[in-house]
Amino acid sequence: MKKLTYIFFILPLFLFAHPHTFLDVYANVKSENQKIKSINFKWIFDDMTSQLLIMEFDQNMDGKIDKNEMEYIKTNYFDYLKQFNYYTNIKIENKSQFAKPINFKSYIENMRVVYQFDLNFNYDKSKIKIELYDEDMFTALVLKKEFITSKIKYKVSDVDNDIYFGYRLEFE
Amino acid sequence: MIEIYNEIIKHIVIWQYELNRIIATNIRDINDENYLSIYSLVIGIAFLYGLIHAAGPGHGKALVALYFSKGKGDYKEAFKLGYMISIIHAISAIVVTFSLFFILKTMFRQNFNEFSNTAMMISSIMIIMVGLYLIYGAIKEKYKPCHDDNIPEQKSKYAVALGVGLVPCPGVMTIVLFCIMLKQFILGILAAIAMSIGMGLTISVVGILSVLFANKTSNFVNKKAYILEAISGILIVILGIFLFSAVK
Repeated sequence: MKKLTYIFFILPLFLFAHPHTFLDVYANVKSENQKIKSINFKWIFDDMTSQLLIMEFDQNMDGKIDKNEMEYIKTNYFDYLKQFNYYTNIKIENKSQFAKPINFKSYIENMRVVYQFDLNFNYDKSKIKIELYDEDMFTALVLKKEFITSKIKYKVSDVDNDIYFGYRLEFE
Repeated sequence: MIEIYNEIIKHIVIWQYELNRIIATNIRDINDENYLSIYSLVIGIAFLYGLIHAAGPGHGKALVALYFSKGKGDYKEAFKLGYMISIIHAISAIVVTFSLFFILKTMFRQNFNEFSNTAMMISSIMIIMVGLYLIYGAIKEKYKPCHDDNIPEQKSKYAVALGVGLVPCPGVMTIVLFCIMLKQFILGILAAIAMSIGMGLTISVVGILSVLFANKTSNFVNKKAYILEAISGILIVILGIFLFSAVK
């Protein structure tokens, strides 16, 4: 039965999903005495998706995202990602937690759309793991070692889930 | 086994990430002097991109594989089907992107989502019908003394191609749209064609592998080929139902 459910859930994904959007994920880790206080995430959309988004986001076409436009992005796009847990699977002592992003900002940088937000933690570095992926594989999140700024030593590894691909950030 | 699979998925994602970036930067850099070299570079990369893109999950490979698992297919047929799918894929992406862009201009993305839902619904209904058709054919064959096959086959193949190809591939659409916005209309069309050819090749390979496999199996059940046909028909119907239920 388990296998059957597996097939039923996976098959549709296999037919219509594969990355169409790529996000460079930058992370700026703020820490105090071996405790992770917060992480500032910066998602930079790929050129092509950015062009597509700018057409919709920048309604007055001034090449910038102003306050109203940012509000529109937050309600219509960013908040929508809540059901996907913002592609950010937080594990505290190996238990998954919901992501609660604050201070959302969006702007255009080098013709690419950027989303920026903070996640607050206040946990010991050894307890936190963050996995970045989109289970539907529509969006590929790319976390490279050099995209991270952190005073605490960190490690980036692959998330091995059978149907999608992601990255894990943990601290040493 | 799982590890190898994960490794493959990882590379499919990373290659696409890199190719996507190369295409975008190059299109942005086009000017009067370098356009020939950039055109050929972008077209070449679009082909590669299509090849890898279709290797990732999706693009009806499951349907093509199931379709040929009914047996009686040959390699040429599989190859042709792959290409029919890619031609329809390319045309639908080009037509939809251009018309949405020029007719609607704003709110492109939302309209695209709505359109793609409708297309996906139509596509899954067609897939169900292909399955039913195969089951019907199998039943007919079981109760018919003499075999004069292959005439209805042709029709069901077109249905498979339409069913899969009708939903424009967002990957192709993104490239076309990107070119339109940078006023590189011809390059957009050429890139879409190149990418679709790449995708067609990958889909064909899946079809050919499936034919190879089915031909081996059907040697055992030679006299009762309709059983295979019925099974693949049932699987295709199930596939169609799940696709239908996946449409949001």
